[in-house]
Amino acid sequence: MRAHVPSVRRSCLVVSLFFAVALLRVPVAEAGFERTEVRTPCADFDPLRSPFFGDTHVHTRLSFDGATGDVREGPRAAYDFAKGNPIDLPPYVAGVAQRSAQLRRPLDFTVITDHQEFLGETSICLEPSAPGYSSPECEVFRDNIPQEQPGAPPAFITFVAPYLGAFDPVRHPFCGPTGDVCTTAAGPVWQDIQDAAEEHYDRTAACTFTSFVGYEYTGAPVAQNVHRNVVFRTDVVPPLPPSYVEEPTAEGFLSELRSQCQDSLPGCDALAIPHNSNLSNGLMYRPELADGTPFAAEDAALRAEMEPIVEIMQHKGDSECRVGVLSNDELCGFEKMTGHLIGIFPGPPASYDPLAFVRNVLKEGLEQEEALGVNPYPLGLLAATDTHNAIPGLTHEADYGPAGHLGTRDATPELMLEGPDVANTLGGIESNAGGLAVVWAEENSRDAIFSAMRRRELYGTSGTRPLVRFFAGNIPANACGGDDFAEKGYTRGVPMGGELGAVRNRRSPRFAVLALRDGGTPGSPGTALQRVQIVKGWVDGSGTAQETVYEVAGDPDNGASVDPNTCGPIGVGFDTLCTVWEDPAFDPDERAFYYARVIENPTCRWSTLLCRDEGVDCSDPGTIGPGFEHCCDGLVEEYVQERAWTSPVFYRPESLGRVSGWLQPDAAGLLRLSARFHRIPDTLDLAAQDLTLEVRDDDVIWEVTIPAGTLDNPKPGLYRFRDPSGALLNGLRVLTLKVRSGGDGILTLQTVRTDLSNAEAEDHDVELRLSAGNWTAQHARRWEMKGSRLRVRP
Amino acid sequence: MAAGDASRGWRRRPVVHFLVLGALLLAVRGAMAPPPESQGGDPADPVVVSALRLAELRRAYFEQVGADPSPEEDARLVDEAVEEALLVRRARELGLDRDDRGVRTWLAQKMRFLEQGMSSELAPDEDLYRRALELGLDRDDLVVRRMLAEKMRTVASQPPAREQLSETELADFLARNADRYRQPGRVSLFHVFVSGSRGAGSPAEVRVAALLERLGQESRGPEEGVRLGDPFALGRQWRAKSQHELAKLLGISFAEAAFACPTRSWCGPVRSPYGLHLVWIVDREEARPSRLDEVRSQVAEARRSELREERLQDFLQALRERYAVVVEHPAGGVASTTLSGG
Repeated sequence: MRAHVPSVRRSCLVVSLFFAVALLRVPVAEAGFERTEVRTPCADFDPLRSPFFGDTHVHTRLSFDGATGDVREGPRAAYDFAKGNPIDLPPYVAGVAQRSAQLRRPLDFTVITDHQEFLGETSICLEPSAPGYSSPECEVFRDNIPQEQPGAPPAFITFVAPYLGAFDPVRHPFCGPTGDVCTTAAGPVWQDIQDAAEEHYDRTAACTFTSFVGYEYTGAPVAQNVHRNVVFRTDVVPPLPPSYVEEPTAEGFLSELRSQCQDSLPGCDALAIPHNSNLSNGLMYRPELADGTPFAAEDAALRAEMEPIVEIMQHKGDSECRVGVLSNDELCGFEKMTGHLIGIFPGPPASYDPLAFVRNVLKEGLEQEEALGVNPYPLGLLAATDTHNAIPGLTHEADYGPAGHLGTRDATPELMLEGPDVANTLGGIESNAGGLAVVWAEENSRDAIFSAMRRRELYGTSGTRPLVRFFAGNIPANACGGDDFAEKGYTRGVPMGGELGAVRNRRSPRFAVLALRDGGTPGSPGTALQRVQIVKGWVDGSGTAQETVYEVAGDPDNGASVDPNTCGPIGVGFDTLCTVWEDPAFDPDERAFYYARVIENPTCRWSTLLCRDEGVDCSDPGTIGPGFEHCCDGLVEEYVQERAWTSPVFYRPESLGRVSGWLQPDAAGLLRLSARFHRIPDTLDLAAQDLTLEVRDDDVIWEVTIPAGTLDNPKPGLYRFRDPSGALLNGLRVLTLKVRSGGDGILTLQTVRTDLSNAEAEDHDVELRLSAGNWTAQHARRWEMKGSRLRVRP
Repeated sequence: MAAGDASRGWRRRPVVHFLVLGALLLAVRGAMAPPPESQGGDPADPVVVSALRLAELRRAYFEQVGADPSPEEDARLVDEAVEEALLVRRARELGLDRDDRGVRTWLAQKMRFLEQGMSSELAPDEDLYRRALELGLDRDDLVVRRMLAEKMRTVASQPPAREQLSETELADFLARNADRYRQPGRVSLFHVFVSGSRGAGSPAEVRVAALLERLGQESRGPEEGVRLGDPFALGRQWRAKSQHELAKLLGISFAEAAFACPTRSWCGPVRSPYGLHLVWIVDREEARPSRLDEVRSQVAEARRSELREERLQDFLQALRERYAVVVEHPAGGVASTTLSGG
């Protein structure tokens, strides 16, 4: 419908149009993240950030357990699939694929993560010209193609076990005494993985798709899963990064990865994303080194730096929490595996290790921080598929049953519906369609998405696509009532994944959550929202971690359910939910994390849909044929409530609270800052410790290190520095730090005119970092340009 | 998700085609050239697809499917066997079998198995391999044949060195695959939001109709107009959004409808999962093909993948043209079919 425009008003319209165009055509600078690669900026760069949907865990035929399922498609086909094109799925008969799959909605980004351990071995065992092709180990491997049973048969274990099941892994004899035959063979495969990623990365301003080079680090000593996915920021990657065989300990692996990438390869950046802690028996996140030594501060720091994210849910189950394992949260029953180890099922364990579940790991991180001063587990949250069919993002419940994730190993309804006694923890009816990662980034490029991963501004979903924003800080109580939820969030608080000090004196920070239902597709409308919860974990006065789940929006008793005959929804839910919440039990002295969990109305689980499609009607025993017993025996839930988990906001009493001030982004600019603290540690000793202060955006804007003993200390709790010329310490004119008993304090500083031209002259994120000894404190907000000054609002 | 009968890709094996060691490549660089007249193509020495091999393939099919292959499927199985036989022939002519560690190890193992009990001492692999060759164990060995065929495929598809592709070649590839590199259309827009619509005649429908009329009468431009609606937490305006990006925020049908709106006038109401919207398109960029300078490295990688496949197909075609092929039919072996001759 076209609105009629009376001619008398036309001039008015032209004027407003001019402003509208001007408003939308403001050239945007590259604030918020550092561009480290050569590419065109994206046309729709948005400083308030957009949601990008992706899958960070994808196997193809290059993985040994993809190939053994007769999966024939590689990374190129997987990327094509992620972009919305169809793909062939096994089984193949006379060379022709018997199944295919296609996404209902394309993805924005994908990380292909084939198992690094067997890149060489798989290529050798499948490549008859390779030395070692005819080794007994390869014979075993090939005998399992196509592998018809989901559970690993005993013979196959002999191929895998020496690598993945041992504390001291060794390569097969055909790899030669030093393993070089296999690592050499892996080289071209690793190169091809990089070439495929380049082929599919959209470097134009259209920014339609981002590929990432990655791999999976695959270890499971005594079937305790410690797998991690490695993501590289750009195409700058090591020649052959470490696998479990070279580095069977977490600390060895992470330091070697850092050493090969960040420390020695200019432009290289990498992070690792652990997955399936639910099958780790707690080993993944035990706060100790491989030899049992408890973490020291530097060990915790290595973990926090290299592993900022965890995959909270994927096809081998949900790892958030478990009822009865330090939690009585009733929604923790979602997508649970009965098993607690990977690849074997000796029956349910006597008890589940608390550290197998991410919420407990987050709590453990807080306890560790109390003891060490460093939190080893300040984890952002995402979800992924872990498909072995090269089908990233195929998470729709209706699509998973027909497609599966394991090639021929789950290519029939009977195989999909096996119980854990047969399928163990690798597939079967306890598996699920997996989830998605959603990243809030300025644009769909590698630098932007990787930076969002680093700052943990991302969330996971159990496969659906609700939009969720989450901010905490001094957020206005009416943030939900306007058009500028994100703007308020960024200027007055931190987004999901951020860190916060006490911002409203002793009162609770405000937590703002916005959730919009998944709009679905024309053939499959999304499900309405039921409620939003905030999960809080904290360390109480006795040093023990606690948790509480708060209902903050929506209605847990909305009565929504599922029509058992049609699987259609019954009852109503919410299209959007938004709230600004305060923690009624906030204690500024207690370190804590808060994450939002968004719950949809119930829908039929994939297995319910598949059983129905196979003609099973649980009310009529005659319809329950052989292989379909688990359709009706209550082993898995009939209905699920799909959900999203945001990365937590971390409350650190030691961090910076209210900060006010401004700077002139100019070659001869001034900087004025005032920052409040709630808890300056008693260990602070500026006579013996340097004090470092850094103001930065994507570059360092200004920094100063005040050497130990430099500050005047005229009376206890008062430190001063004065240099009217600014010549001594990089333009610093005055700095005062007042510490009151109890740890409250205030720091003020001014510079003389100094070079602050690294700061962009526009609204953007600016971070303040302060450190002395073991103490670090930070403050990140969106600073706003007012006149010639870039200001932070308290 | 639909069951499909995709016919492409039957040639693909669960094989890592690109694995080839540099030394091997140097040794067989000549393999790329079609066999010269002097080699092969001799009707007196045709490439033979044995009845045994065909029987094996048909048995494997039966085991997998539980039925005999249809005539078309059978033709495909025969074709596969012919291709393998051609590759093996050429691989042997090029001597790919002679220095192959895999072949050596395999034949030595086979020999060791045959000699079990005849000798108590453990013979070195080299001796076993030599004796296996003397006995002709390599000639009809299934594993050796598969090894050689795959090795030949890999060698034939590889470039002698990483290709430097010309501008013309890249431009041609881009022209042939323009759809794959299409830049989507984009719109910059404002929207007026009215929350909570549930069907015709609902309060929201009535409100939005009144708003549209008012906007038209008062000729309100976009940034004035948006203030008349309800707040929308994700914002009032977006810049340079593709249809896909817009769909993530406001749903697929909203994005479709908004893209169909004319520029610079109020359009709608357009329904989203969250309510009703009046849309003002400020600016529109039409979809367009990418220029080569925008997608050079992606096109180059894609062209290299294509060249690998083309090289292999050319090579197979040359083999088919050069060699006489005899297919022995399993039933009695009376008739034999010559598929092609040089």
